[in-house]
Amino acid sequence: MAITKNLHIIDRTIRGVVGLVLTGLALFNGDFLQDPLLEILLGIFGTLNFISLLVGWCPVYQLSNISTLPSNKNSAA
Amino acid sequence: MPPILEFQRDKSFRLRLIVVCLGVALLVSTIYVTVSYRLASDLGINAEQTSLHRQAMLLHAELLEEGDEGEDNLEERMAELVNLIYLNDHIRANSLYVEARSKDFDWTLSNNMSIYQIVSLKKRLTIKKQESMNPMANGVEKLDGQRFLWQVVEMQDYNILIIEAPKSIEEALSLIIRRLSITSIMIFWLAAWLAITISSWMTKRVQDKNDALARLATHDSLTGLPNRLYLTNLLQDLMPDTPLAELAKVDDALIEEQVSGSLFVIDLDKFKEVNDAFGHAAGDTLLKKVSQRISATLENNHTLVRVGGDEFIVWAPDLEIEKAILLAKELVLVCDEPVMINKLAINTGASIGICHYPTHATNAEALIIGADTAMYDAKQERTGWSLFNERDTEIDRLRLRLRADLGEALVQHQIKLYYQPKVELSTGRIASVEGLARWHHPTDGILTPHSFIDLVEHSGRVQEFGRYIIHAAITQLAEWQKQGVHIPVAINLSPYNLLDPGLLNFTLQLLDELRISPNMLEIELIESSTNITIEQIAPRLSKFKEAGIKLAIDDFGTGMSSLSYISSLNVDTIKIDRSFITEINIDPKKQIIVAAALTLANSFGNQTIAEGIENQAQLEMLKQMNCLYGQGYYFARPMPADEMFSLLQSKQSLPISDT
Repeated sequence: MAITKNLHIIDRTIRGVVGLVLTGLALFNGDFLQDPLLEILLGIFGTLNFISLLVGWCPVYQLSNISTLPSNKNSAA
Repeated sequence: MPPILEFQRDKSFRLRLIVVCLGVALLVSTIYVTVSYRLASDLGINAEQTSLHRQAMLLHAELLEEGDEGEDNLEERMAELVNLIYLNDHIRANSLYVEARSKDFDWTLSNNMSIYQIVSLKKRLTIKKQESMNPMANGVEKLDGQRFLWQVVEMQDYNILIIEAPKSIEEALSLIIRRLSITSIMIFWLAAWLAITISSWMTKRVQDKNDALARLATHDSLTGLPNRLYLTNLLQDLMPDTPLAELAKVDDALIEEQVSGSLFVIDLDKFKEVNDAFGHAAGDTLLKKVSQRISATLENNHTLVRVGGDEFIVWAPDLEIEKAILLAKELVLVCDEPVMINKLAINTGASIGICHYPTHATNAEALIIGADTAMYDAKQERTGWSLFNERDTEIDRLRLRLRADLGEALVQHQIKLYYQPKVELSTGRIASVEGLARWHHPTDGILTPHSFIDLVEHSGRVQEFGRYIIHAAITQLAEWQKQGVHIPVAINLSPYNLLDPGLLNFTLQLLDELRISPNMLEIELIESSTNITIEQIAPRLSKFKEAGIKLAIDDFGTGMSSLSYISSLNVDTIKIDRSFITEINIDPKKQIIVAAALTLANSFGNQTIAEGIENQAQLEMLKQMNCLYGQGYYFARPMPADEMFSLLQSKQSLPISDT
């Protein structure tokens, strides 16, 4: 599975924001959650989104054979 | 043919799948959150209630113990205890009401509770207490959205009531909600990804299957080339059957982009022979090799299609006619190169027909038909290739149209008999008449048999047509007979008609019904383009003869089998073909032939009629040669029945000299 970019710039931005919010929530939620398991999960989700932002590639898209890059006609749901 | 709709991508399928997946995920999340929340809330309340119960028991025990010692400090002790348990700095109850009573003791404490709350809660508790009949009743009451736990202890001397709105439950529940909602968002997210992945995976599988099916349906298994279905789809996409009215609306920009191109139909000349001689496996090998060669010759944008058997079609977009001809020549050479099969060099030539769009045809179907016709021409003329010729198709189209009209013509009696007299040359007397078919076509005017008899013979209506002609002749005979004119009528039948097993009975029955003597009817046997032998029809003809119907051989001297006719059939009359009569007055060779025919006929005891007499000189020559009967424009052209009738009535003889 070769890593080829499959994310549109808007898609990447959304992922970036989501990643930022989730990682932030995981790290700095204070007494909001009080559950390390949830915080770890949130951290993983956030980091994955951050990776998508940086690389411009989404493994799920790749598996599903879809792409939001403008050159490709397929679009993400 | 419609495009292969069933193989087209179903775009809504995936969307529906995703919506269903998300819906299920949402439902599951909701149920899970609700159940978890309720569970947590129940657990919390239970725990609080148990602890409230214990506290009430403790207070009660303390009252009992202190009450025994003395009343004075009982109230103080209660206040101290309640403050210690509920109103300390660590876990401070939000709202609290404690009441302790006995016969001579009444102590209450209220913290953060309004009179209204206390009164209405106590009112409800009294009812609940009585219903439960339990001295230690407890429960949860909701008042104005706030949750109150209550506990009653009514034992021995003291009655205790505690009402509390515990802060810890609210705190715990809000924490539970936060965690659950974050969790459910993540679950929902996972479900969404799953939905997308599964849906695209399923669509991909379905699409792969569809593609495979579409490929099976549109490709030939032997050569791997696309098939006719593929071609039809391709061409129909390129050149939709747009009505002229709609074409006019299309703006110029679109017309400029209109497709053009050449279509080749390639047919291998000797494929069948190869198949027969070397077997089907060899034929298949040949097809594969030839198709590979053709593919190699073509440009990338050309499409090679195997439409069946040994026929290929090439669609070459944007290829002009001149270049198409060059390509066709090249293809002919390519197909003629020998192919090695079973160590034998076999070469099967090919015939190629070219048709150009839009020069020669306006739609896909016409384009293919055009190229096919051209290919047929090439095959007939053995020229290798041939370009579509518009004239050819016009003739074909006319034939097709007439063929379609034939059925109606027979039903509506559009085909009528015209009559031409046969004349006794010495006197000019009309000896008999010949009925000739004329088709009164509603749009094409009057057609002679020349333009439709071939159609009749190949239409499958030949027997119907024969009966039709016989019926027309006999009814005419009857009509004339009724009006007092007795003249034999001859009709032309092809050997094909005589294959009709019921024809003799049909004829005899009709003759009998209309009271016509069989010898008034004469059948002139015409040469047919078909190869029916005399042996096949001789027995039938003999039966006609036995029944009394006269027989004649038409166009004597031209047909290949005329002499065998005369030898094997017992005919009454021989009609010498017009080709010998036209120049009989100047060409001695024709005189010799006619003389021989006359001698021959005399020897067999047959009558002789000269066909196609057009002038006096021919007539004189024939009279000199002792020919007794004649027929031709010199006497009369074929005419409608009523004209013939008046001619027959007015004068029984025609002029035989210019005087």
